[in-house]
Amino acid sequence: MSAHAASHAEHGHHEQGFVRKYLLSTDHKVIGLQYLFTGMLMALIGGFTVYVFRMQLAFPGEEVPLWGRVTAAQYNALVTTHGSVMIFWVAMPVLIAAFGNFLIPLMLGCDDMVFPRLNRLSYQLFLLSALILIASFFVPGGPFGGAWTAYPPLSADPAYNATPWGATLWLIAVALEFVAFLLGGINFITTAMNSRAPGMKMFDVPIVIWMIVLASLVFMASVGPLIAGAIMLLFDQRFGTGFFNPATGGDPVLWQHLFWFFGHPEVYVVLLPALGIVAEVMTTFSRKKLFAYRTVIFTAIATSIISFFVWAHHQFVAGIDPRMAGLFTVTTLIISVPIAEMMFIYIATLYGGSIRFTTPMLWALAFIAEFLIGGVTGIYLGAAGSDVYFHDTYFVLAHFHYTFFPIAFIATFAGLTYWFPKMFGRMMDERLGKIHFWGTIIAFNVIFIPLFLTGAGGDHRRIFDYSLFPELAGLQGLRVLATIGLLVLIAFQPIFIYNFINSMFRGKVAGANPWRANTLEWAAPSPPPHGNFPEMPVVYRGPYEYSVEGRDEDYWPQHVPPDDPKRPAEQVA
Amino acid sequence: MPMALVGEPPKRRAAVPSGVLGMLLFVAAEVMFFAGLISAFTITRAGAPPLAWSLPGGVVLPAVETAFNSIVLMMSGVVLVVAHWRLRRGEDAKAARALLAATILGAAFVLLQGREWWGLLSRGVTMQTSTLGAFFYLIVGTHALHAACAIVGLGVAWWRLRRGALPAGFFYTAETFWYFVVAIWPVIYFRVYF
Amino acid sequence: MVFRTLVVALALLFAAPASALACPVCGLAGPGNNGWAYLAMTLMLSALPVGILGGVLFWVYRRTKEAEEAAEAEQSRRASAAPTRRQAGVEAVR
Ligand code: HEM
Repeated sequence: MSAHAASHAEHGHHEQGFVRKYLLSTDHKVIGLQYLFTGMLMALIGGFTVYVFRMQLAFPGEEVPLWGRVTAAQYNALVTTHGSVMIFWVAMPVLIAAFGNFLIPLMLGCDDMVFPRLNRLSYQLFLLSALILIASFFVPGGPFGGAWTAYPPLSADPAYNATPWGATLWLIAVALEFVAFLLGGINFITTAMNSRAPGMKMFDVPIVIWMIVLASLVFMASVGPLIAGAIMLLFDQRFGTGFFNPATGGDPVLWQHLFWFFGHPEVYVVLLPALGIVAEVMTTFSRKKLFAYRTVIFTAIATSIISFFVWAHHQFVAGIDPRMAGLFTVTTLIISVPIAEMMFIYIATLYGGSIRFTTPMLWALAFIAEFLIGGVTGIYLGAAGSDVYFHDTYFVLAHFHYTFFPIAFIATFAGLTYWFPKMFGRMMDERLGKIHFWGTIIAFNVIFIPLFLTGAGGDHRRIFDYSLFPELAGLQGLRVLATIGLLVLIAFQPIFIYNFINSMFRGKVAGANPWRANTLEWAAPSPPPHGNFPEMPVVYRGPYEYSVEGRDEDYWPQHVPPDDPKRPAEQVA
Repeated sequence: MPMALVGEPPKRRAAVPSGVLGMLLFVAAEVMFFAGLISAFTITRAGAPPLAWSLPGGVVLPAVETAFNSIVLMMSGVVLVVAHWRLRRGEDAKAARALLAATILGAAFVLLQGREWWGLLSRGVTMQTSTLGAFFYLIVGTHALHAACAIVGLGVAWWRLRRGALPAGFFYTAETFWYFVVAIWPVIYFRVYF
Repeated sequence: MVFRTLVVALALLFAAPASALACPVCGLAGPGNNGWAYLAMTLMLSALPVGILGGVLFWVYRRTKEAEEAAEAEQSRRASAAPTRRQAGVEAVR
């Protein structure tokens, strides 16, 4: 507390230059928005690569507009860049870092993070890692093409991957990014422990904060082995060691062990914040108390723990001991139980509520619907027997996109449209928001339902040209359909970008609490000034007291004292 | 809630100092990092063909010499505990002496390890000539790097304490990290050297 | 019936794991001689985070609870003592 109180005092409320204010700021809101915009820009890269390689798959060998003819090596590089960017530079920064930074101090009712300078360092490292990744497009050999999982020996030996610089830069970028999130995570957890508003007990903390904190914990506990592996891989690439080279007594499968030890918990690292965002949006727009608040938290904790016991299901066909495969089948099927429970809880929250179909609510509902498809198809992949058939096909691909797309985009859109008034003080346009919603959701299903079918029909992932497999020619129609779906999806995104930028400057002025929500961030003015609250809030109740009987208002903010129940919540604006 | 409680809002309070909590979380991540290295070592060693798991030219890792270095490191940890006690009792001058001793012992460990590396390198043990060697330099080197950082932290703490300007949080944070460096070493030693 | 099938299948799996390997090449080679190491390290890596973070969080949780209880005790003491200041002084002395 004292350290950051001091740092506030020193650059108090005098005018700051643009650089001080927006580039070198230690204010959590600015850092959150920095993460948000960086993530959104990276999403453009992730989206553009997808466009290029999907075009190649639908129309093999043709010129792709804006790119040209795609070579096999380019194809690999594009897929790798797409996967890495979407997970490490879009989902992670937006869901955890952007929402985490923006929301944690606001929802806890304090003025900033516990370690504001560490926070700034975290963003700077993250930005550096993004720049390094982008730089790898311009080095000899081009960007890394060994898939986002970077299995050796392909990733270890330039003789195999033909991208001596791209592979190393990719590795350095990923490692730096991990350090950035490690610092950020420490900050989040410490802040949530030590800076809660007076009166806010552990079980008065909004779900989304719980989820981001849990996700940070899972991230911190799982990333160590991968950093160890990344260093070993770096040495193999650059200094001629043979950690993953069987010829010198190394073990290539070891990388998979280290990678997936992180890789699977990582899925829950991005899932939990998404679930948290959806919980906030859902309770606000069904005007109903969250069903079983504590159960959600304990379920999330259980999920986090179990998430450490499922990762070898990525290695069912990597020659692991079948007894281990048996164990991991069981744990994988077990983890679907808490997740299913969470889905039921959310549906129960809707039951009997007075639901308002605003844009954020539509996104939140779509999250549940689409994620369910991803979850259910996962059961087939979790069972070692059927996974032997499905492994590395488009079925797997469609499965994890049905989980990742809801996480990285649907939940993010829910969160962005929900907190946009708080971030910029203005409302987004509802009509454009709904057009964008329906265009995106329908197109998304048009992309990936066909891919389930091609996968079950035998299409393998990471294949650059299916015309080389005449026996799979019958699936070409579905591939073209998926690509058309993608083009439609892309065509709808400018609507969002226009709506976002336009509303930032010309939207209806929002006021402090446009959604009539309970949590503390709505007690601050929109957008919150440096220091967040004109008067530090005190908390009197849990975050989800909607439609409480005997009150005139159907909401009861956390910071409103209980002494006059008839008074409508004051807006501090 | 009775009205009397409302008038006087409860205070914001930290159950655990932020610096210590942050460092504990960082240490947890670090433990996982070393666990990753050690599990990599164990798996590779178990899978390597018997002859492949040795250093070139019949060199063996100097376990006995290192046992001495390890004792130096452990002593440094113990002395730091002493410094902690003295600091809590307010005996700043005595605490500064213990802190300095802990720092010097720690530095001595790193230097002795460096001498050992020098000997091994001059006998042709490098990261490229064998996977055991590669793991040895990787794991021990990573530990040494952590030790060096922690020693700088302890040194700064000593300097500030002597000038009477040592924030308690800074000391506890540096202390936590040094205990981690000391405590993880026996695990590394018994795993890698034998 | 299902149960019995399951037991037989598990027994077979544990008796002859190599026969259940997914890929034929691995099947010929059998589970490597570092199979046990993989298993042991898997268990270690999986259990460690629960142990460490569980420990840290439990400690923090206990301290938080203690602090919360102390604060509450203080408050109720103050609340009950509010009418007369002298009484509060007396209680503090006791
Ligand atoms: C906009 C919609 C998206 C489409 C149409 C799409 C499409 C694809 C396709 C077709 C592939 C496989 C290429 C191949 O194997 O040859 C792929 C790979 C992948 N995608 Fe997506 N994707 C989308 C969004 C996302 C998102 C949001 C994420 C994660 C947050 C993601 C993560 C990945 C990953 C990790 C891979 C694997 C890359 C690899 O094989 O190394 N994608 N995507």
